[in-house]
Amino acid sequence: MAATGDSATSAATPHQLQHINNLAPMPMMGKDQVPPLMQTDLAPSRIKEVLALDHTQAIKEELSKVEEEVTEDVDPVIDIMINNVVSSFSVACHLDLRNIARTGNNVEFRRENGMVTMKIRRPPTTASIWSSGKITCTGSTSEIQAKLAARRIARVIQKLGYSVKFKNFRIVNVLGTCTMPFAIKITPFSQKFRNRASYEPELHPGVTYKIDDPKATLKIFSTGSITVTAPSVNNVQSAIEHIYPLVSEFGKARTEEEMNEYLELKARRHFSQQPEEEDSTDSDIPADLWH
Amino acid sequence: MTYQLYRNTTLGNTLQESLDELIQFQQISPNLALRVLLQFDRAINTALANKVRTRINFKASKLNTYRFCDNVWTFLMSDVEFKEVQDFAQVDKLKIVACDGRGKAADAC
Repeated sequence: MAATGDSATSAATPHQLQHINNLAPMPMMGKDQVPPLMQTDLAPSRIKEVLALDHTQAIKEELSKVEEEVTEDVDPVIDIMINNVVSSFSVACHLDLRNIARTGNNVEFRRENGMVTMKIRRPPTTASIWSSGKITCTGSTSEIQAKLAARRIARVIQKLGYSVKFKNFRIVNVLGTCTMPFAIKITPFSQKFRNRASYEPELHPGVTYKIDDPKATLKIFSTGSITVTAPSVNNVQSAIEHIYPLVSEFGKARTEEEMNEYLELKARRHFSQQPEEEDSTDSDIPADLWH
Repeated sequence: MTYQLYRNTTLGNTLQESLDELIQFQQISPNLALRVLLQFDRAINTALANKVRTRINFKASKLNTYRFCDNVWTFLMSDVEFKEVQDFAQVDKLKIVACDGRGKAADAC
């Protein structure tokens, strides 16, 4: 492993940082590739957020990345992937689930669950519909997308002939993941933060770390992966910013093999974030086929 | 009660037409025709469940919509290729209605 590998704070040294920033021109990536959904720059004064849909912003992000590479650089940039956003809203009218299940598209109605699950393709979202008119949507990857998905679901139900409103929309839960550029010694970590962290290796391989304000729950794994559940995307980001200095104290260098794996994973993530195409009609099936 | 969805096949439709004709010429009563149809349902359900061993593979390029309600799956797909050993058939649009073959039969389809 590299010479910097032995100290706990090694990850923050420019040497390893170079690895991370070197990712941008990886051979597999096109020049116009959109950068990840959101990044947190661990120096708090330089916090920025990037949405995948916003291309000009994306270009600026690329630029600032390059600038950072050139100028001073102490804190590494950590990508936060928002994997799931759960939202709930109400259509403020009672719904006949059986009717929805018989006439709607892409629906499943299992009577034992007492709800209809409906999926839409863009954005890829699953909605659980109860007869009370309460609906929860899962599967979006940003708050804006979650709202768009919820409105589309509401529109679909409206087209089935219900007097739909769009009430009480709120983000219920956000799940984000990120990977630290180092492994974490979780046993000493959990011992130091005994009051906020719980580590039960027989129940779960990660440390559960709770932050009260802003509210967030983190699961910290020895590999350096951290998953965050919080009630908003901003909470996820601030949770990562909160936890980074704490875990970097317990960081240990990865073996070269693990480091390669990490870089490969990161590169794959960059690569997989294709610009999203909006939006044609969801389906063009003649109605007569259904009846 | 057995599934009645096979009445809408070529075989079932022809049977129904013949029965209608017989009723028109007053050679059988509507009651008897109904009994024949019920017997047909029973026969074709057991035959398809027990006697048919043929298999055919198909591959669709896109599943347009799906639906699951009352234990019945409905699929609508487009650009479907059916393949048997030598035979090959292609259709633009296909609708599949699938009921639970074993276990309790839903009463009407």
